[in-house]
Amino acid sequence: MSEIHSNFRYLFSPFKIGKVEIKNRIVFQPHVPYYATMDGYPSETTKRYYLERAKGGTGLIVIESLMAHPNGIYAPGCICLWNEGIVERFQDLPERVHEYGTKIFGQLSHPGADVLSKPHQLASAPSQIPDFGGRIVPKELDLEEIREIVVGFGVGAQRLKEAGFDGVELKFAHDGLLRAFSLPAQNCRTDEYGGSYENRCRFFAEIVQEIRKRVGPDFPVGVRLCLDQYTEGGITQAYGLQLAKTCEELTIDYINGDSGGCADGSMQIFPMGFPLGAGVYLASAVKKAVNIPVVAFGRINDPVMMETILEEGHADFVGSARQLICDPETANKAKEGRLDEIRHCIACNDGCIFQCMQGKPIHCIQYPPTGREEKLGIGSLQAVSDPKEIMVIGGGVAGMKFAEIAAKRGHRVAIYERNQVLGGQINDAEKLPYRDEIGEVSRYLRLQLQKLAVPCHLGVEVEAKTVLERNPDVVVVATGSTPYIPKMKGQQDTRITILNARQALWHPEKIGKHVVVLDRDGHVKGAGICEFALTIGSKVEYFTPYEKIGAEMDAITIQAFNRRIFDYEDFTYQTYHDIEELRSHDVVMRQTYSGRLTTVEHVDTLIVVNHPLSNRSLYKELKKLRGAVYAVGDCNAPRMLEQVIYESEILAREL
Amino acid sequence: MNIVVCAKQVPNTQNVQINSETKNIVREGIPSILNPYDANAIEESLKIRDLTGGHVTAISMGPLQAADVLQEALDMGADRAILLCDRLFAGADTLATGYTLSVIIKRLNADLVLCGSEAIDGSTGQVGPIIAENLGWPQMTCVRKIKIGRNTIAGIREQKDGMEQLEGKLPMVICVQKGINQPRAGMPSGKRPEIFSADDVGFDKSLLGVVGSPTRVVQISMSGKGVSGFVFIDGSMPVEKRVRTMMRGGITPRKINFVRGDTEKLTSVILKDEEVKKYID
Repeated sequence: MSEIHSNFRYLFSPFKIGKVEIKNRIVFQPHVPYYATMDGYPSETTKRYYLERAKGGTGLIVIESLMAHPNGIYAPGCICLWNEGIVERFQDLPERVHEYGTKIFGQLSHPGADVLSKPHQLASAPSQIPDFGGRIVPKELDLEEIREIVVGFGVGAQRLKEAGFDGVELKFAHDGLLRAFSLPAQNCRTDEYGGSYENRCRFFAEIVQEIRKRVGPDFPVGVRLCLDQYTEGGITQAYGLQLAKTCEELTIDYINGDSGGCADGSMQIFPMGFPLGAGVYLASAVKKAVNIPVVAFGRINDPVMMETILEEGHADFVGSARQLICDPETANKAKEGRLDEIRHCIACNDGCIFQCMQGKPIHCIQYPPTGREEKLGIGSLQAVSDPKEIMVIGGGVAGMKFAEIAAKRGHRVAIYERNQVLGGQINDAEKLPYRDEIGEVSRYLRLQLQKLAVPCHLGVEVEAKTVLERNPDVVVVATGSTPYIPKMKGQQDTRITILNARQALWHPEKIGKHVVVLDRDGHVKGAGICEFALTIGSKVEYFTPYEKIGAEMDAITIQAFNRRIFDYEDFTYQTYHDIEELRSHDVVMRQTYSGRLTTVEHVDTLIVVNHPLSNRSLYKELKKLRGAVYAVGDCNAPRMLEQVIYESEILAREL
Repeated sequence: MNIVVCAKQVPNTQNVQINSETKNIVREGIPSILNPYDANAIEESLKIRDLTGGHVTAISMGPLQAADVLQEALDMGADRAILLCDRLFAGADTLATGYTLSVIIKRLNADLVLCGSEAIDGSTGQVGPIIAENLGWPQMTCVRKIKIGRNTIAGIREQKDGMEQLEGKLPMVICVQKGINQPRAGMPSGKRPEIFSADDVGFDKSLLGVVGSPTRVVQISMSGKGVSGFVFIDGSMPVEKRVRTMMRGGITPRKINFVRGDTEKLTSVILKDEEVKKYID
């Protein structure tokens, strides 16, 4: 691949923010991973998490949303800078990060009305107006409180400097108090903090002055700035540019781009299917308007893309949060030309932001070591002293992940797959509209297996006797699961075509004009199959026994999905419904609470999305016949990618 | 390896004109040349032949004067050249052209078909893929480099934001980019192209030429300046439009009418469409 690898001319050249030199252009964007202790101190997990990204070669790490004042906390599990002894509790983090030549900044924030804990104690805002799309009614801040918060930001910055941080960043982004103060729609104050543009920016200006007073002119102070909130009454691109210029006038050292808001998370944390580099154009506009460094943002998940952004002059730095959650070594791998070994974030949002929104610690569906760095982090994979011969039966994600880790440790692994292709259910999942990027999960694994020279025998159905003949040291059964439709009343006599999700995806010609989808799964599968049928011109009626469409889907993915699917006039849905019986051309549905029946007439196709059943017979048979037989993945029970990948990695590390 | 390379005679696009009535390119009075992409395809086929041994056949479809480009291929070193020339082939769109070429390729028992990524006159880039589909073979398009392995053939594809390496087994169709090589100069070879008519090869005549061409050119216009690879959204559009444009990857959303049916039905629906009719009548 060396001819593909071009030298990165910009990405690995140093660049200065104020007087601080950053060794390369890759910035780990701030976010709350919820690893801190419940009383607001960084935990060992917090430190290991950031350290891992430094180890991976990142230029600049901006950590968390650090709470500046007790008046506003997103949720327990956020780091609070007013805490007694916080400087000492941080101290070894900057030191350890500096060992890798990486710089570390801290982001200071006050959530305003956008608190995450439910129910919240008391939120405050410039005026008593909930944030766009929010339901939390805040208290209007008193003047004394405003002054206290200003001092809180100053003290917070001072403490970070004392703790050895290289700079600070203010969150003027998709949520928080700073943004709310700046917007006429959320700030109706009649005192010196409301009204004119100057008054609305006064709170921000005072904070910057307070910080400068305490940290001096040479300590970098940046702003994470929302550049288009994509919300009626929110920050527009023009207003974002105006704010950026104000930042520059107020001696801010860099602008870190951001977009979206709480009304629509899909424009804030762009989900799968949204364009890669979605926010680059906004950063590019700021770059033209100001003379301070600008950080690009928005689904930047590949070093070649990063280089292009810099080369085309859209920004001075490239920011990624999710890509470095998914592959902390992105920078080092790119620098060493190991582009094929980079695991790309697919923006599924399931392991990271969806967990964060529920106040839970984040993980990555593709990369189990995230949040578990101490045990599973970089360099923790132990080479084996006595390599075993391992036969992996099934080349889906579970089998491939197991084989990757086991082969990296030195085991002699071979995969046997019944189909002509590796990837298992990924091959189905990537056929859903706007879900093709999920194919990256198996593409990455396939490439690693190729590099590790793991033999993959395709089109081979393995029987127990084959295993006994080969007699490997270890057998790992990863035979997956099969779609399953439970018996329904009237199924024998109906003339309606009944399909499971897989059949529907591979045989669109069997999907008729009038389709009923019954979703007992609640994840992307059921919702996505509706969209699939709609795109080929069918009329779709969706029924689910759960409380909403895609009950298990992550909150951001479903927002984007809803926007697309409700555009179709031919789509209707009913929640709390399950199937009662099938007639020759009709489907009878039952309201799950009242038992009331509804008949859907003249149905051509019924697509039943039910949980699949494990393919476990080979495992059971082998278990009786020999020792050292293990099962991973859906073969144990059908689950999500995250659980399956984690289970496979752990087994491969233990054998 | 038995290699077939496709070549097209094109007007030199230095000064191209479009007939306002037929919407076709005016070829009269304009010097014709070998499509530059095809020159690269010929060069690449010769290189592969020199490496693996075998045979290169250049093929083209067009009027008798198109034999000139095949003569060029022969002079560069191709072993054989065939021109498909018949009034039944005239007026073919990319679908009919792809079909026609695929039939002769099947006849020639090719292992590998090389095409230029596109022709500089129409720039559709469709003929190579249509040949592959007709043959039921895998295809690689926009290829910048070809590597011949023991059992496999790998291609490096040029993409907007990087390179992609694909690998596959023969038989295969590969469409190459201009930068793949530097075509050699020809030396008089003494060989002449053979001319085949529609009767010489077993064609389904309903799929040939104007009869087999469902494409109706509605309008041709010059495209705007190339844009950056990143999505760009006009900040002055209303919120909902900005969001939807972002969701669709930067394309301003439009209402789509969906029609089911076979080719014939779809063609008739398209031709009856008010928008399309404006241009046809």
